[in-house]
Amino acid sequence: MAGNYYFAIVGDKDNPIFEMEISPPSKEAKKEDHRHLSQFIAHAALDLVDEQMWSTSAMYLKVVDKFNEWFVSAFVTASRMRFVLLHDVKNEDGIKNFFMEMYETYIKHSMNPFYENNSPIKSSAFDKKAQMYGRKYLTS
Amino acid sequence: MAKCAQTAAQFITEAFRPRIAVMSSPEVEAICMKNDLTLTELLQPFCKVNQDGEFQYRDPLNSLVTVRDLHLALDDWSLSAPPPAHVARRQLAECVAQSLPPPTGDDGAPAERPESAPWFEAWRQRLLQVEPPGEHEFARRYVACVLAVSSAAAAPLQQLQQLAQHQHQQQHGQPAGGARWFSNNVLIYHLLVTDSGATPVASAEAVFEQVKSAYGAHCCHHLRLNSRRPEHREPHQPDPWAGYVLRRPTNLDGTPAQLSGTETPVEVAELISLPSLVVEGELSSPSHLTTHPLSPEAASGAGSPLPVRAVASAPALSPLGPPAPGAVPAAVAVPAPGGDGTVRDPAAPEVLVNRVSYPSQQAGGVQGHGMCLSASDLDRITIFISEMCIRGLMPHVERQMRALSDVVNNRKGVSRSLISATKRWFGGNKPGAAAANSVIYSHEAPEIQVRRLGDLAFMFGHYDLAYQAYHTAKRDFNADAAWLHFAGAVEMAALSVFLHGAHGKPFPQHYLDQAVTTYLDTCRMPNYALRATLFSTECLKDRAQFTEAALQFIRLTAEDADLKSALLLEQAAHCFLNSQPPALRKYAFHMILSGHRFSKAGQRRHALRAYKQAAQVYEGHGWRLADDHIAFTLGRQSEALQEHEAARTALGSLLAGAAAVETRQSPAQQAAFVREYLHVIRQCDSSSAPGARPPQLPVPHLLSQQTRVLVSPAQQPPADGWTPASGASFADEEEDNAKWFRLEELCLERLGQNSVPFKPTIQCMSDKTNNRHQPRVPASEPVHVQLVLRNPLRVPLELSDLRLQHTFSRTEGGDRGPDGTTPSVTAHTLSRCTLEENATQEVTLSITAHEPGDLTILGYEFSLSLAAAPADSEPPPAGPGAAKETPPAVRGCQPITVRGRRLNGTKEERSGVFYAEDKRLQLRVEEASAQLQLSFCGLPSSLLCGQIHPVLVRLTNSGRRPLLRLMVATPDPHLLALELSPPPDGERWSQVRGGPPPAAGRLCWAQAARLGRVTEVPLPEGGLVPGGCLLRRLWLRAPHADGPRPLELLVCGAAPGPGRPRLLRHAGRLLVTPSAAVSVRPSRSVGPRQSLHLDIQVSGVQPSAAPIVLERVAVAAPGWRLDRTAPVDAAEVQRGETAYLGVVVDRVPVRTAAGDGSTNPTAANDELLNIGSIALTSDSPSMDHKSHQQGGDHPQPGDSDSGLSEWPCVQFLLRHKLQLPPLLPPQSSGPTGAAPEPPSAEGAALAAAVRVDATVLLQWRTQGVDAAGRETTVYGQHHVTAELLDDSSATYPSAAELEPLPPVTIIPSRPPSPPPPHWPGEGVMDRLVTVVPLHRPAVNHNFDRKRLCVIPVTMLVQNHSRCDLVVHLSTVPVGSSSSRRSLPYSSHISSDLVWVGRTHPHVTVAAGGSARLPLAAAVTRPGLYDLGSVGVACRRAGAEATDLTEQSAHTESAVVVRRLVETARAE
Repeated sequence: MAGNYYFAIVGDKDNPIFEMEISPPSKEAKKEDHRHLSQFIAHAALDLVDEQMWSTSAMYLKVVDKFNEWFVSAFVTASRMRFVLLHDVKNEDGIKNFFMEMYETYIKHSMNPFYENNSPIKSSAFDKKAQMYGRKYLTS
Repeated sequence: MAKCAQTAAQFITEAFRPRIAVMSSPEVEAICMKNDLTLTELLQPFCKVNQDGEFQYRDPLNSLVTVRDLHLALDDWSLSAPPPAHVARRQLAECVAQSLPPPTGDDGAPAERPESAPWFEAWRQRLLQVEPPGEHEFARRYVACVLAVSSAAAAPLQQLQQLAQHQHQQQHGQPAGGARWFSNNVLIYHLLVTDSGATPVASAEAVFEQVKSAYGAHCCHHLRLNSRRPEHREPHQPDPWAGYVLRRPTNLDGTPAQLSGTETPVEVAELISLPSLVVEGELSSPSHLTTHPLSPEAASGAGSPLPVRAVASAPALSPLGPPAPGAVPAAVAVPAPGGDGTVRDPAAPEVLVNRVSYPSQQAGGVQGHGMCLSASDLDRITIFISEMCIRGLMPHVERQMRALSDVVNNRKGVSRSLISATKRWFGGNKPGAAAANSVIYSHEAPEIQVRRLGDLAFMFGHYDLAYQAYHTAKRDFNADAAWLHFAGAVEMAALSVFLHGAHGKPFPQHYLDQAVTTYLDTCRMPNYALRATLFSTECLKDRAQFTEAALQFIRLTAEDADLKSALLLEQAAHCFLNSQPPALRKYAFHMILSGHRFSKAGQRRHALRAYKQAAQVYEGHGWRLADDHIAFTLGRQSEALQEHEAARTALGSLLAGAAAVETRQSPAQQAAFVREYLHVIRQCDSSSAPGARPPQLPVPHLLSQQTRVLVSPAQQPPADGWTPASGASFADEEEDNAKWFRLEELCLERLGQNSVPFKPTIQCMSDKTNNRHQPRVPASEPVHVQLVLRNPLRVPLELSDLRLQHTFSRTEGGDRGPDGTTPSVTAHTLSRCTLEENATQEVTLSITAHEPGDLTILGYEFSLSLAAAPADSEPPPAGPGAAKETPPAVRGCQPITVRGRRLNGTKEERSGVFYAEDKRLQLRVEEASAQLQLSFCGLPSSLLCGQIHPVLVRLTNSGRRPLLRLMVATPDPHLLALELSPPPDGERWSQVRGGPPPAAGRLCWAQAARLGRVTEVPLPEGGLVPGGCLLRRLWLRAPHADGPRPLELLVCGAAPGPGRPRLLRHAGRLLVTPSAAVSVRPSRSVGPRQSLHLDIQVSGVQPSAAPIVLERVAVAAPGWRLDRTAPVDAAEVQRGETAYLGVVVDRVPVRTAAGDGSTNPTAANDELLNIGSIALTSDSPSMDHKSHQQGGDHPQPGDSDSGLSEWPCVQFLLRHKLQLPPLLPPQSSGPTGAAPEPPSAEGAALAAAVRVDATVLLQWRTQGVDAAGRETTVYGQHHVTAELLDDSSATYPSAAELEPLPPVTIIPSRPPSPPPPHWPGEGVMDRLVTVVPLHRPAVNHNFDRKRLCVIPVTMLVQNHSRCDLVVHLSTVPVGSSSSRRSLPYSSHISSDLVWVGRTHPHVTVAAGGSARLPLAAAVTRPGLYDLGSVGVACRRAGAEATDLTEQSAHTESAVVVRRLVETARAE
């Protein structure tokens, strides 16, 4: 299920605390010029995430927004951290699994007493995990 | 909250108001032009008639309909034709560009939430105007036509006829023209215009009568104008025409349209080259690129004093001169067969020319509109309009409606074309099934008439009827699959319901959606879809369904229509903002999208505005790439709009952001950012005053806190072999400072200038030093500031012409410079410095103050540019041409702000955050002072262990004051020694053994105590004057241990006056390579004299193959004298070889001159030393003058040995003995136990027996290579002090001596604390005394004569201690014989030796003295006997008799007893 993904964890001040692009290894990296578009789309989708999170008790909100070829799936943690994933292919199960794994990873990371909540995540271990789950559930 | 000025209902009714064409004769226009208005313009403000209940008509059912708020649209016929698409496009762009947002962004203030969007309204108004009425709709066609002639014309009636003819021709003559009229018979209304000032009323009335009689009174009107007297002519307040003529350039604050930066020619090309807009092939023709775009009013007719349709005859028809207002209906004279559209295009350039020249010509003469119109004229106009409505329009509408209704009712259900019936049966009736209209209705088809009825009713406010008609039409069209008509009907039906109000049906939103979909997907007519969307969104907004409205807006955006998309996206964004809850982030995103499209459409100001508004949302959340995109766009757009400051701010924040965060932009992107920024800065610079301060640049990053300031006089450059002292430099380790400070303190102590507490002179101030005090720097001496610059970008930056910024305040009454013209301060310029990508670099800048005062360093300025790509820099720059290739740089600055360390002293400071004051950048410039310069000649980089090397030192005072005292301090006095007397002239300084022999060879170790780390250099009388120079020899002697060794030297010069002494440091490095390892082991010699054997072991460990030639051995020991008679040989040691030398020293009787020093162990150092030396070689060229020594075999006590000069070998010998406390107290003393108590005096005296303290000096030479690579002879010396008897001391500690570390104990056990030894141990106590038997070596005895042979033996008891001892001898061996060493002949020793006489004598031996005990031994047969086998024990003189200590040393002394045969008697 090859496709391009952009994953972001957004804090409660609408600040991105983690960002990652996941592309299938076969494709060459996306053009640099459009990377900011991912941010724009993800940021704009927060409006819809905030709207839809109250309409369901599930954490996984499925596709909340769409812009051009991009779908935006979202996941809201118990602490209202928002996981936003941009994808250009449908992959509901994979995305759900990915979100769940990332949720667990995030919880583990946030329990680190040296990590200040809502601050950018600069852990290479976290990064590796995210890459691993991205490969496992999204691009593989 | 972006509210439109119009409500939704207003907007819709405005869009579908009844339209009336105006055709006027040139004379009429001439009359109107006196007011600077055309007839249409003149009338337009009065077309909005709101007379309650006055306009009524009866509908087909004969019920009375009252029209409220009737708003007529009067159109200049000649200008009313829809412009060609590309013109329309430009008009739209123009109207958007000219409706500018309030200038909030210019001053950098944040743009507020959008309150309104006038540009959008203007645009949609214009869009409706330029949109040609569709085939399927009638609401926007002319329902009437006003024909206006002047009563002053020659033949008004004839003219009227001509106009009517023209109208008829327009309506019926050509296929295109007919589409613009509502129906075949429109209302023709005749207007006679009279200039009250020019035409007599009577004649005008007469003409009107004629007109009335010709056309009937109900459709004629006489309008009198210009009744105002010229002297009363003032502009109307308020100007009723202002809103209608507003698009003239003169009303735009004098700003010509092109200055809004909207459409440069390039953008025009870009704009119209978009695919959907290419209508004609001429778009790329130069005329469109060079000419200014049409102003909107050219088409609206508002500003038409132009000879617009001026065909060739226009000038002839315009008697009033260039403005030629009468030329407008020129079609009267020349009916253009091709229609307006074809005439217009070639005329367009003409229009442009006139248009541009228009304001200057017209504005000069007429200051305002309607100058000639009196109040009664205005009243007359109002009356005219309402007359026309009541008497002309309403009856006409009534008639029309009735007729249409009849047609509709009659034909209903009767007729459909065969085709449509077929369609109904076989085709689907869903929109989208057919591609487009396949049904073509005739002009008078009943379905069309239904639609026409609906439009008429809609225009005149009968929405109920309109809805019914539309609904009917909708069904018909749907059945016929006439989708365009269907969509139009659906759209209008929905609007009818909307306008009908609350009591009507629920609003059918799906109708509008259906209309849009049909237009868009089925008919592929996006323009109609757009219009329907505009209506639809208004309706949605009216009912607060903002999100839906936003989605509709977004749906209509297209890739190819930038302006449209931009406006729609912006509206969508506003809708998101207004939705509940406000979707702020959607708003921001769509504003960005909109801004992007605006910029693509060339609407820079709008783009800028949109981006600014969006930026408010994104700001500070850390969406780095988005922020960068916004900042970059803001910068670009601002810069294109000549708003350099704003551009600079935006791009500056972009670069600063890139610096602050780990940026992920690609290098190419960053290079683009930097390039853009530099460009903007350049623009700013060119616009600002030339003397202005350079702007502060965001890159590179200055790490202010790491700034270091170095106050150190400049050293001369190295010249002809002279190397300057290193001085203090930034490279110095901070940890070394303590060492230098301590040296400085020592120097100050010697100078007597020490203050308590000692405050060191900090030469290099950093963030780790204490900077509470201003650094002081003498005038004319440079101050170096080291800046740490970091390039956060991924592109290399190049800085050039770096210079410090500073302020300087001169001290009152201070010395002025040599002349007033020279600046007080010189900031030295660093020409170039390249910062690699992501690199941190240190840059040192210098500044020199020439007079006393206060110098404060504020920052630094530099020129920033992108470093050339490596490919460019590879070829060497060839001349000035290459220099131009480098990217131009911009000047900028950065401030340096420093603060001290955080304070933590008081409670307040601990609970808050306070920082110490930091004055490292605030320099106090003092009077010029003395200045030290130090340079070396022949400074080596590597030496052999023990090598002695002379270095010539030049000390220069390059300051302005004399130096009175000079100190030289070194932390390592063993390494170097400064010769205090000047080097003798004529002698080569490089000669190692230069210098006269010392006057006395007697040295005293106490002299060493006077040596120390600090040496004062005696100066000539008056000190070292400015410019004076001092030449001295500095001797280096490498230590015994190899490896690198720091070579450090501090020169401290005291100048007169209160200032601190000048300091100069040199820190070098010396590599020491191994040469020879020497060890010495002293042992007692057996003999009557008290003497020692010194076994000297020399091992060659030098790396080179050259042998080490031992030249001289000397011994300096208190109480000992070298026995020069003893033979010594061994001269050379090859690598890997070991040589042994043995020398003998004799005990010198203890002198009483030293007082009671014999018992005082510390007094040993005060004793005079006898240095005796033995030359080992005779071939040493430098020792020729000492050759007599070789022959001098006589030991001469007290004689000096001239083979040793005081410099340098004795100096280093002394320094060898020098024991200094560590320069710095140990950092962590830890729980050091109490220092071991010094042994008691008596104990020391006893210990002296084994104490040797002999220093062996071994001089050598070998072949080495000097710095220049020449082979040369190097000299050196080793000294080893043998301290204890039988204990070897070495220069070269062998690796085997590394003791294994004790096991680590976690819990420290009680430290074993043995009681301090008050008493010397066994090793000392059993070696206090030696006994030497003195006897004849052989005894001949005639055993035959006497059976017993008695051998007299004198026991020489030597007391080696400094304590009186009682020595007990025991001739009966008491000790275990096993301890005796067995001699080679011991197996032959007979044991039948019997001591006779005193067998256990004891004797008291004075300190250091000896005693003889006569004993006797008896043997009974010949043989070999050992006479030394006596037990020796001793005790101190005062000790108890039992406290004897057995002595370990036994001397074996063999005696041979031979039998003497009395042969003589036998013979």
